[in-house]
Amino acid sequence: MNAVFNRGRDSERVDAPLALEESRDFRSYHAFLRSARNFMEGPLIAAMHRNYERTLAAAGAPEPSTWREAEATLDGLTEYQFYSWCFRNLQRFKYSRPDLGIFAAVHAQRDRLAPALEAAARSAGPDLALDPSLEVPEYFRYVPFHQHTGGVANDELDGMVYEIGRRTTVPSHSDPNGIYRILFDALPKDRSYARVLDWGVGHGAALITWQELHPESECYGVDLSAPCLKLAHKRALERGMRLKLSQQDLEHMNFPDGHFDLVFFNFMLHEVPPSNTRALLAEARRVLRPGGLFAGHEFHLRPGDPFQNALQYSHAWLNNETYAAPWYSTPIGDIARDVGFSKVRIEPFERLIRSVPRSPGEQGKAITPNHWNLYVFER
Amino acid sequence: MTESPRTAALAGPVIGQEPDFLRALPTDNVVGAVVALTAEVYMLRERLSALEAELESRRVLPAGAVEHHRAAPDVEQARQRDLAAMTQRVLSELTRDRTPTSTVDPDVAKYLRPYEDLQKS
Repeated sequence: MNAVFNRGRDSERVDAPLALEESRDFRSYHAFLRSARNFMEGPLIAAMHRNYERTLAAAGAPEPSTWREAEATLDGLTEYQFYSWCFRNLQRFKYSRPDLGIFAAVHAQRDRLAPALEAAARSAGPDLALDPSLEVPEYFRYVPFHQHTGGVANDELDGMVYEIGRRTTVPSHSDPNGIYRILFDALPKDRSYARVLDWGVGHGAALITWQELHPESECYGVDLSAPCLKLAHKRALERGMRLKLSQQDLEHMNFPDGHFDLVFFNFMLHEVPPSNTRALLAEARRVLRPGGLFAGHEFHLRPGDPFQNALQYSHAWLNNETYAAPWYSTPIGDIARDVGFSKVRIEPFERLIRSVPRSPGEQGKAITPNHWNLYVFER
Repeated sequence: MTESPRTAALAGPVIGQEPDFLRALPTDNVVGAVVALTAEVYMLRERLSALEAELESRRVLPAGAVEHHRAAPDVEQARQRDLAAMTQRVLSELTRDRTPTSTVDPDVAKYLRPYEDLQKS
């Protein structure tokens, strides 16, 4: 392990765990929000679907064949209106409310949190390569994803805000790292993953989870956000891990050709506009060795299910997942083949898709708060 | 981009002003939620009352200790601050600014063209 002492205050080790000090009120407030989100993604969607089918039947209308037709019916339903309010406003409650929102709580402890992150970053050496001159792509600046005010690369504590916020990203998974494990478990096991890149590493939780499962891997992470990378580095230090983190544009990375056995991502594709998709995939392929994998999970439409797809489209606007709207019609498989991936596998990621319980005796297609696909492209 | 003749279905990213999703929500439903919340508050009161009674019966607290409790001045001041903060948290929802806390740049429209359209141009 490298020197792990904060040079400014030798009594504090830079690998000491850093956490928001959470008041009882903060904890119970966010527990309630998580419960409300589970209500939204479970009973509320089930009730919405029941009323949707009743409304269509009462009107003698045929089953909608497009998501827009489904949306037109949904729009008149109280359940859909409340669902929309919940999606937009529970996120606002989570991040931006006075006192108990994550921004208020984290910023109130800036004097303790920011120096600790900075001290860890200063101790990093080559493990953390930040680039203050990096020009962040315009599309990234335009959209404060998930209603994270200012985006995740604006304030020195944005990484911490983002990390705390993920507790309700997939509220049905009580372990927020569970979604990474499910992805990693779905990857082929008959190959070596000696060198691995987390494509959009963020706060580092996925890459750390990978390193825990594969201690033999040399782990790299790239992101546009310096605050997120600093936190990822801090979290690695806390676990005695060495991750190689760098601030780079995924379209122009400084790795040699064929450097990685695996480039993985967690719901990144819907955060980039179609104008950049091809260049991103081409660059990901370039850094993979022949036979290497580009793999991850992502929200998408469910074929033949206009009700579900109307919900998927609504997420784009409700939660500032703005590029999800054009993402749904982007032919990612064709683009992957065009840029030179030899095998392209896209399939529903059943282990991640949570079905909403229906009423006893109620029949029909499964309803889910989110449809996920698994993407595995081989160079 | 969010202007829409519809009720809750948005036609684009939220820019400029927060949407009004619930303008058609029946008042009966709102009252229903308020009554349900009232029931929850009562259940909490009842449990607190039971807890006080138990503590008194087991002589952990003297009878009437909670009712007659008078906080020290500094504690009382902290309570007043807590009350003001709670009031602000709850009632500020009624007067909140409808400007989004996170605003998508209006120029984002140029990035929303479908991939197919980009290929044609």
